Amino acid sequence: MKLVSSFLLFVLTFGLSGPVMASVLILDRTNHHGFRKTDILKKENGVYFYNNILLGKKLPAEILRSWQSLEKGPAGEKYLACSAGTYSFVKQVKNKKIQVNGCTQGDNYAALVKNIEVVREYAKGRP
Amino acid sequence: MKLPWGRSILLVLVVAGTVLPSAHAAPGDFEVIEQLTQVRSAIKKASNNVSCEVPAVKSCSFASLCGNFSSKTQSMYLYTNASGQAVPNYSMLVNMQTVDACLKKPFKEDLFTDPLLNPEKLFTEKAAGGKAQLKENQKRYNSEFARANGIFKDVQKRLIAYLQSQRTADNSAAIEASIRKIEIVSMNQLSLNDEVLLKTGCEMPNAFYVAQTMAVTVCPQFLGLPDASLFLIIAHELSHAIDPCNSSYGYLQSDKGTFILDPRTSMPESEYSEESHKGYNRFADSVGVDEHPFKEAIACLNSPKVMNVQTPSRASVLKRVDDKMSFIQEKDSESGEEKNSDAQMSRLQSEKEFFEKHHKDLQFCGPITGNGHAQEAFADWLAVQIVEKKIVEIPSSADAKRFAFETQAYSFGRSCANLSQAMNAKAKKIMGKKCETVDEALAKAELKPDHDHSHPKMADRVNSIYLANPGLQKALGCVPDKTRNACK
Ligand SMILES: [Zn+2]
Repeated sequence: MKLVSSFLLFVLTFGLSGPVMASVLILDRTNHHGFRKTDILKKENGVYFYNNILLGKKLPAEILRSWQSLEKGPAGEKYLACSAGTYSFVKQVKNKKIQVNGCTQGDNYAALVKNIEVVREYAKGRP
Repeated sequence: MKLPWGRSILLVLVVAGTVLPSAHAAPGDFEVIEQLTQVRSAIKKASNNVSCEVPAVKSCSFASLCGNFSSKTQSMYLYTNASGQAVPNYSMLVNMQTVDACLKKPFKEDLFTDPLLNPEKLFTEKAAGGKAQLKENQKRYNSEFARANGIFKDVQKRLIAYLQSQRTADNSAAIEASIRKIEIVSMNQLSLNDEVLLKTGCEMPNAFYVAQTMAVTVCPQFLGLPDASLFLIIAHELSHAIDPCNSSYGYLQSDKGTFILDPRTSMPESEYSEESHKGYNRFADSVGVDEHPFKEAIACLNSPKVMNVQTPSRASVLKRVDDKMSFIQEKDSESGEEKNSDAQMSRLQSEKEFFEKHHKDLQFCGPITGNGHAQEAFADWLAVQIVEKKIVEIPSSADAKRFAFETQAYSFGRSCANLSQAMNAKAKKIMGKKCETVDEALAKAELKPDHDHSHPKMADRVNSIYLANPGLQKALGCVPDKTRNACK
């Protein structure tokens, strides 16, 4: 017997060491064969960074839309098992951190990756 | 000897020197790009000489297998067989893609030119470099998929035969249910327009079994591997259909011959209605831990002397659910959005009750307990039983050795410490302060990934399960580690 688990775990941490001036979003995933990939989006003093690549103070509307969707975090999903892999999504604003864990499958995860892709392509300079 | 796909194109590139930094690079990047150009050139030079020889494996250990590749840390491919099927250095593939992204993709041409290793080239004209090339790439995917599908069918037949051979008066019903669960599995042929699937499950080299769809997916990045590598990968994934977690699912069949998971064996009552399985009949029953046809092997694999699987306690699993609940409550008190959370809370409550009721059969389920080691150890163990039977049928000892070696070879690039550490260090050196490495970023965010415990280490799996198998030991001609015994 087994249950359908949304496999979403939230961890809420207050009072991290020292004040953090930036807001950071991290998508870190490891697949069934152990391969790992991480994307880091950061906004510091009004300046946007993707994996430490400077994107500037203003983002084109389409890129900004993806960034803002990412700030909302992933939506939960029903899954029997995280067959393809698992992810951790971290949102850290000031001294508050939220971590959500889930499966690297399904429409909601795909939407998350798609938004990351938009930012990544922009960072590479070929939107 | 045939060269791996794309090698000839690569040689032309090196000779013609067409690898130039693009205009996207910022002025300060040129020094780094110059450094990367040199690294890429060295890699290409080192990659021209890929060994087709199966190395001597002295001791039956992962470290001994990896030791044969210490001189290959600069090479894109670690091994190629006579059919041109090649094992990529996957650490290099992943690391160089990270470096390229960090430097805003400074080169027109990817280091690895094989479209299977850059799945984007299988579904976009732009990435493929034109319509004709896209068509060519898709043709290659289809032919490699057909090869993998042939191997899948062979593995499936052998797995069913193996289950038949294990039938006794006591386990007959469990064997029957297990055979039926294996029979309904098929290979998932990716639709090459399906960006979503490619970008999610196949974002990186991967293969997996999904119980809901009864399908094994082998991602494009694995499809160029030698037959024997694919044989082991597929045998492992197919074995998941009856692993100590998935075995507890039942399946139902409609009159039209379609199958679904029996919701009564897979979710709390509050999560499904009678309508959801109306018109479906019993097809394959749930097999609990105590009735599993390989329960002795499972106990042996989980024991301290083999994989030492630490199954999370009932209390700790329940605490995970409680943590979720208190998070939702905290969020409520912050935002005041109570309505939204009511449904989530009642769902978590039913999950909790379901787990309390079925703890025994759920204890090995990674997605629920956070520890998938028992499932992985079992899939490795059953896969190696099938590999052993296959090896016995190979008449020449040289061919048997090659097959045994190739079953293991695909994991070297990612899991051999000598190879992955060399590539990680190189990537870090090139990126310098320009881009944070994963470890730096995660340390800064104080992130502890929840998936750390989902898989046992590859070296432990190879040493304790694959290389503990007498058939594999004999074929490789290696000296067994006397402290490790194969589970029966
Ligand atoms: Zn597995």
